[in-house]
Amino acid sequence: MYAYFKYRNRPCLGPSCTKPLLARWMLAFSVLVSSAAGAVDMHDGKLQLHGFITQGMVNTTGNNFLGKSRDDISYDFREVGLNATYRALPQLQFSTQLISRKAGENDNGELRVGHAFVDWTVAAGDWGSSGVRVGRVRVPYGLYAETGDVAFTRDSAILPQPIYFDVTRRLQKSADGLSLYHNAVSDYGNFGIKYYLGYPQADGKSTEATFLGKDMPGRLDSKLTQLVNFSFDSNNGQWRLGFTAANVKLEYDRKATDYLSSGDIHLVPYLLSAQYNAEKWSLTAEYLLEFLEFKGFGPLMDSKTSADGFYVQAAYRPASKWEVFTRYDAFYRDRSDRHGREWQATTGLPDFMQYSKDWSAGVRYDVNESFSLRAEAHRINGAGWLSPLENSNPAALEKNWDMLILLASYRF
Amino acid sequence: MRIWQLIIFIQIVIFFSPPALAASVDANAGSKVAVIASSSFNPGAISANTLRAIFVMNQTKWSDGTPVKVYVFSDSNPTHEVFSKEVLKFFPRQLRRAWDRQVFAGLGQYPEQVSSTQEMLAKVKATPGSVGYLLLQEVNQDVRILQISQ
Repeated sequence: MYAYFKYRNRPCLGPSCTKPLLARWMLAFSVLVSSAAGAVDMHDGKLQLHGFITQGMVNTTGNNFLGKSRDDISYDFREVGLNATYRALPQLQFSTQLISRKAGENDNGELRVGHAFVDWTVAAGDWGSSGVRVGRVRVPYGLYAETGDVAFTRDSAILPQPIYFDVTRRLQKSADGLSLYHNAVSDYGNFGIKYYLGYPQADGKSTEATFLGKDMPGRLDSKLTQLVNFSFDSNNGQWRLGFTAANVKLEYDRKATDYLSSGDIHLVPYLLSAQYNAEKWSLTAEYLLEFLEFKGFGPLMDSKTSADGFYVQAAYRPASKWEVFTRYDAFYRDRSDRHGREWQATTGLPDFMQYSKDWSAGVRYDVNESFSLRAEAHRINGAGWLSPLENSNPAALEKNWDMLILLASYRF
Repeated sequence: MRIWQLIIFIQIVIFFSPPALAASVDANAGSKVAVIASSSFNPGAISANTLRAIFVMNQTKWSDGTPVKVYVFSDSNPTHEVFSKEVLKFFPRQLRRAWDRQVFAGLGQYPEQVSSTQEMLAKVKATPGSVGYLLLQEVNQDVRILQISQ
């Protein structure tokens, strides 16, 4: 199954791909339009189809994010997806998502399988449930990664970058393998444990550029990776707590033209999540501590560092169709060099590439149950989570920059 | 600096919005909502935990193996609001969020939405293993009221 997905997901490059891509787009769009009347239920409600389409407009000063946005407006932020679930038996469900995501230079909009798995609930009762999922499964990385593609499930136009990096998004979204889960129901709430064993998606030039500096001639692949997630959801839905830890291994296979040696990258993230929901407002915070090791690339690249980041966010719903939020987030690429001084001294590159601090606030208006509009402003200090593909000249980076995002989303 | 002004403005809106802005006046406050099931199917009394697991779409079958089928009204329906807050002890919005998360992560399905009391009665009556809810005075002999043990 792994090999099948890998084949399907080979990036589509060059002019030869334009035509099938357009055809797929039109197919996807016609499906969307033809079912615009609402969710599609078939086979007595056993088959459900849902879709979403999101289009963004991004304007920034200083640096590019989600396309050529610097002193310009980028429309290169688009998410189109179709979700299908088929519940063959009460304890057996098949789920799949097809998604096309355009995100500046980081995602080219090709149609991919977001997830495709079978979920078998082995045992269930008053005590809870246990089961197994096999296929391309969603990774429960923090509060948002499982559904982060769908703008309706996010509190903001873009997710907080220190935890949900756009540049390494695919790595965090899904893995080809299996997952075991156990839910324990209690008078306090639901305790969940999920264990994952599989291959996360490391392909794509964006992941390569994030770890190796640019789109390299060789190939970056994932090795067998484990992830564990503990969660607590209180009975009234007010508290959501989580802890995620993973052991991600990537290997880089060099080409003859490469100046890099082949090597291994080892990532160990620990993520703590907490959310409190009242009727009109909610508070959310997450903290990430990530250990990063490069091995075998040669003395210039080999290193052992740790990064961390967090965000604190408040959202308020003054009326049923309106929601406003504000957030502060910060990210440090190297905890032992938070101001980037050592980095600047050894590489000659700007110190502010090593961190990012972002104040943001935004407003959301739900026109109806299917259509929503957002506007969001960011004031950012640092360039820590910017894509090297969109900002290829470090000398042109600016330390203090602003971002304005407008987003329209539709779902059925 | 204009972006700062926008950020600060939105923050002021967040922190100083009077709760009075909230426009949810509950016409049905104090009304009793009953959880109903098909009269041809008797699961006995169910616990509050089981009821919650059913309505957040976590429990997909009854103990005898009959598939669970859930019928609800729209999020803004007053009966839904009372059911959600008083019976389920969930804010309607959190319930919607929980469904969205399940569906878009591929883990579960949405409940089926009905638009009238008649439709709720007819669908629940016709579907063994189904659950729904209605105001107590709207319930008739076609369906049975489920007892919830605390």
